[in-house]
Amino acid sequence: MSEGLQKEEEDRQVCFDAYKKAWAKCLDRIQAIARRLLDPVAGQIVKEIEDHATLTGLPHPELPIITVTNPAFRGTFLYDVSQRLDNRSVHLYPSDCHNAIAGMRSLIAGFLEGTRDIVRESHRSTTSVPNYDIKLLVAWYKEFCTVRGNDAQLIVILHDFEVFDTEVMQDIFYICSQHVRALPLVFILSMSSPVPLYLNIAYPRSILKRLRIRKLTLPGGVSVLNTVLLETFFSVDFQPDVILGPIALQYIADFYLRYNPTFDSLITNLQLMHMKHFSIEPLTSILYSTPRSKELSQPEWSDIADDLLTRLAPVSKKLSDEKRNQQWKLLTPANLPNLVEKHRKQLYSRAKAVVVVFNVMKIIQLFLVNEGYKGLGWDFKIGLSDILVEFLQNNVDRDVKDLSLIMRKMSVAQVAKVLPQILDLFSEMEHETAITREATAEVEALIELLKTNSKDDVPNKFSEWATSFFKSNLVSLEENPLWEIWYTGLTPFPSELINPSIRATMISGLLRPHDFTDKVQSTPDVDSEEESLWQLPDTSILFKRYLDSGKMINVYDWFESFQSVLEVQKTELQKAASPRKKRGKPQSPRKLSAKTKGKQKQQEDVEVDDNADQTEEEWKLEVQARFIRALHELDYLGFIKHTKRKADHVIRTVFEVTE
Amino acid sequence: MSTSKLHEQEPLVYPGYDAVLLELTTLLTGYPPPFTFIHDSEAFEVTTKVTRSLLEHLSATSSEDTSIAFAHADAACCLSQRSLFEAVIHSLVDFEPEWKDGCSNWESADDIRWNENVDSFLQGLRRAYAHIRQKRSTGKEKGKEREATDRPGLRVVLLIEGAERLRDVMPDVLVPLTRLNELSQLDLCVIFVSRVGWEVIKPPLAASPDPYFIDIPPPTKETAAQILISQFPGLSEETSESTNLYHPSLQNLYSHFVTILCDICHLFTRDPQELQYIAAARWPGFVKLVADANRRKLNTGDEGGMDVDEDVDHVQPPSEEDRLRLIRLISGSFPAAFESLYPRLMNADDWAKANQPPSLASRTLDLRATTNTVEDQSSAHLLEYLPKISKYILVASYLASTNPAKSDLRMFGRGLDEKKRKRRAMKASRKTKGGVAKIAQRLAGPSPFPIDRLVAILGVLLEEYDADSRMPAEEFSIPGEYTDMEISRVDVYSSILELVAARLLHRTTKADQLDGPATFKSAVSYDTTLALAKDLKIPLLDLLWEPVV
Repeated sequence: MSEGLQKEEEDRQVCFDAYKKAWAKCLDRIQAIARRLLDPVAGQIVKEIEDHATLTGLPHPELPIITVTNPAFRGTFLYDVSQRLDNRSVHLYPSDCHNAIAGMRSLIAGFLEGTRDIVRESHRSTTSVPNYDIKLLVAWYKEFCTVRGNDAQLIVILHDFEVFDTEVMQDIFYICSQHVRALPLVFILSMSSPVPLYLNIAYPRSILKRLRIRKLTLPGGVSVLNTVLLETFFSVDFQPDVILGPIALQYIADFYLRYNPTFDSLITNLQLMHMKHFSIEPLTSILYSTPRSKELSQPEWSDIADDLLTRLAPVSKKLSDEKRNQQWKLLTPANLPNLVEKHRKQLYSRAKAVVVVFNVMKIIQLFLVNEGYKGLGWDFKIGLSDILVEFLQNNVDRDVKDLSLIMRKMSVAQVAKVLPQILDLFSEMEHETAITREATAEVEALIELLKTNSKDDVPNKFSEWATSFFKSNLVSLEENPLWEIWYTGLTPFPSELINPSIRATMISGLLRPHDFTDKVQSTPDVDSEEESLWQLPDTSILFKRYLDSGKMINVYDWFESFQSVLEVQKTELQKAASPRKKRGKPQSPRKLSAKTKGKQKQQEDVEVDDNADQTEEEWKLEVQARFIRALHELDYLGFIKHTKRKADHVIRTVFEVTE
Repeated sequence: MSTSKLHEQEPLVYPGYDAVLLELTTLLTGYPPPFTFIHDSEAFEVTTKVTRSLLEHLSATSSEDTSIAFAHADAACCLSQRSLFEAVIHSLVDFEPEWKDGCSNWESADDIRWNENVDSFLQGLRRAYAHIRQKRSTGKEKGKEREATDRPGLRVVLLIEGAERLRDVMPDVLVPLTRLNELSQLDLCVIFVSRVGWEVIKPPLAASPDPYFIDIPPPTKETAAQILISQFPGLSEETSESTNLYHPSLQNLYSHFVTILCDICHLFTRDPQELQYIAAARWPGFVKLVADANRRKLNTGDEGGMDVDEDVDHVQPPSEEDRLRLIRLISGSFPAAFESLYPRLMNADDWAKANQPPSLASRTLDLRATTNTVEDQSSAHLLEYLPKISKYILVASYLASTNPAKSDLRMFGRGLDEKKRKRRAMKASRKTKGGVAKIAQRLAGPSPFPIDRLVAILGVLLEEYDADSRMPAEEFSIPGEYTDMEISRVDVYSSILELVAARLLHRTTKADQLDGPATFKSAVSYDTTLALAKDLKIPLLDLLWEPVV
């Protein structure tokens, strides 16, 4: 038993290592994309900060403010910016500024603490300028300038600006603006709200007129999603180790557009999909390397070897007998590593082929749109994820057909413009493959042909080549044996983990409390067996009775029905306890409830043993107490609405629950 | 006698403030009231500036028998009583905390804490008083030998700017400050400058003496223009090195420019500082226009000479005829400038850059600056960046805020025949009753609604208009079940809170209140909602209870 557990643990570890490697590769790529997207904005911010020039003739000096509207990339982006600058900078969070004094104090302390070489000597807190007074910072800055010999601006970065208290920030802005001549502060506000005029909405004009606001907006919305998806999973120069299946891709895209258009959530979802892939598929332990045949014969690999043999068994009805026999012969434990290697290469090259086809079609489509045609009518902005899904599901025959017709109708000049673009794409490939080598040659031949007299024939030939190229390379990845290892296929996305439905979870928690509290080890047979009512915790018993009632519930009737269940529970428990304490004895359900406090638990243990001694009176009291507690719990969860319409009645708030 | 002397020495002139200046000078140099209250709600900052410069002027030109020292503190900059006291005393003795001394306060070497409470502050004040007296007399003694008892009297004036802040931040200090004269037993008077009237700040139970009131009337159009024009010499001095935008030769042109600007914009704001802000943003464009005109004249004279490198440095004032023409040209852009600059939709610097006038050569000279309205900008951004569910929530919030709650069943309920039974309010309902016309809800402002109603309307919208774009889900077989799951998802609630943080939705109950449902109010306008609804393909007009006329 323990050996088995240990082995399971080891297997998991191997899978986990493979997961870490695969995810790290994917994450690196995504982060590189993010950096590339953010780079221009970071440069712009730096430029804005260094831009000292102000208009002359303004009525009073203005405090420079740069608002960075950052709906997709929240978080640490501004740390990168502050690292780029030589200026001193302070990062403030809403929790630092719960009032003006605290805010000023953390602002000043942020600057003062960063400079160890400028120390305040002989200072007594009572008789010197308090640590929240801006005069202190002014004096420090004077010293800073003389020590460092420059008068660089001081940068204050406010994260999650919307959460800052507006009244506090008004004071801080006002104070800083009054001293801006002596203290060149620049504020950078990181905002996630998509409203660029947030400051104008939230702050009064009396403060706004003291600020010089510059607004910057980071890329966000659907463009970020598309860039990440295209450049990670559909890029010719990058091959992710785990290929995302259509269902997961669709969910991730949908979630991004529908609920949470942030970069973090996108990464989390992709990571979750990786995790799920590695945790449900034991074969993923050989995602990277196949053990040699000798190792495979060892007991620790026996499971994997068996699994591989089963999955590789040529049982498909499409195969001819001869072929089947041939494959059976090849399928020996000694030959397994070679087979796995072969399938790995084949799957990756097939996946790459699909990606190449997509990119070629995309080039032609974009070209057509540029020329003013509708083409295939693909929407590469909002509808991109749908197109990608179609490709993964090998569902684009119609598009290929349409495109071949369109290509035939293209003029020679148009073809001459498209062909070099396709050639460029092939040259961008990470590794040259047989497919692209051949295709490159074909395209080059077509370009050559354009220079000859028979160039009028090129569109036809182009269309022919392209159609055959598309058709031969578009295959379903699931046809490849062992695809489960590298491709997530139709595995659904674990959406309930990311975005659960509160009400449904709460109701199912009340209806099946043991599914939540017990260990998940329970075998499927247990699930099918319906637990009888008395085995449930009090709140669940009460809730079940609640569901049986009408719109209004008479509390006394409710109590009586509850009491009858408890009576059953009492006799059952006594029955179970009287012979001896069985292992499988249904425990008092309340002991399982997480809400039960330790003290009550103890009492209950005693109670189960000694309840023979309990008098009728005591039992009644207990039932009442348990009823009231369960009632209050339901009340707290919002299932009950009190009313004065009818005495002793409450109103249900939840109806038509499907169990 | 001393007053006239002062005026003879170096009169301080400030357009529009002559009477106030005279009044204050007379008071301060003669027998000042212990507590003066200056109230100005329109041009508060200008008044503060003027008062401060008057006091500076008075303290610099002190007369034989009474010298005046003055201190000022900005109440909004002082976060605590302690920092207010420090600000007053440091300003009085003209002391700047030095980093090298550990930023210690003035005369803190003997461990004397004069910033602790009102008593110690009074002591500090007396010390400062003595200190200044000492300093002033030693300065004079160089010229004249005098007996110690014969020293000139010293009068201290404390100017507290933005005094209305004291009431909120440190109400305790208000009474002692107003009675500082009797408490300190010094020749001292206190002046409050405030945006709001004394009756608002006044401590209860008549604890403070009634002040001497000075109310500053809002500046007239002419005064505002004069104030702006009077800034010109200072500006031209300030900028003489960098650019010659404010070259003294342009003074006349600037006067005309400002007069026209004030003519147009004074209707909307009377604050000279705001007018100056707009002038500062528009003036560079105007100078460029003038330079352009000059160059064209030059070029036509030279028969198309290539002298295009002419710098702004050499801008000459145009001829009378040109001036009129150019001013008429530029004045067309003043309202647009006002629209984007006054609410600070843009800062002056960027506005000036974005709205440089095109060269005169182009025939289609349209100076009406193109400014997108707030509405356009925000709805375009919302469409691009908001997630779909937030768009639905915003539309639902608008509906919940405009439609009366009792109309929901009729508007959104589905009948048995699956056909919508909608009935809009009859037009007849707009009949006037008792002479008072009923204001349309759309115009009356949003009304609050509980979160459950918002979620319910959201459910209807999702069910009716979003069903096609959903991910396929086999597990939901009952009609409406999918929507039911959808509207109670965690992200729906977090989106609502996020919209509250972004001020697209107002929360009308407190965040920490657990009793009862949270209530909200819509904070998006009709036009924005219409744009959002169009994006989501929701027929908003059909869902509104009151028809939009």
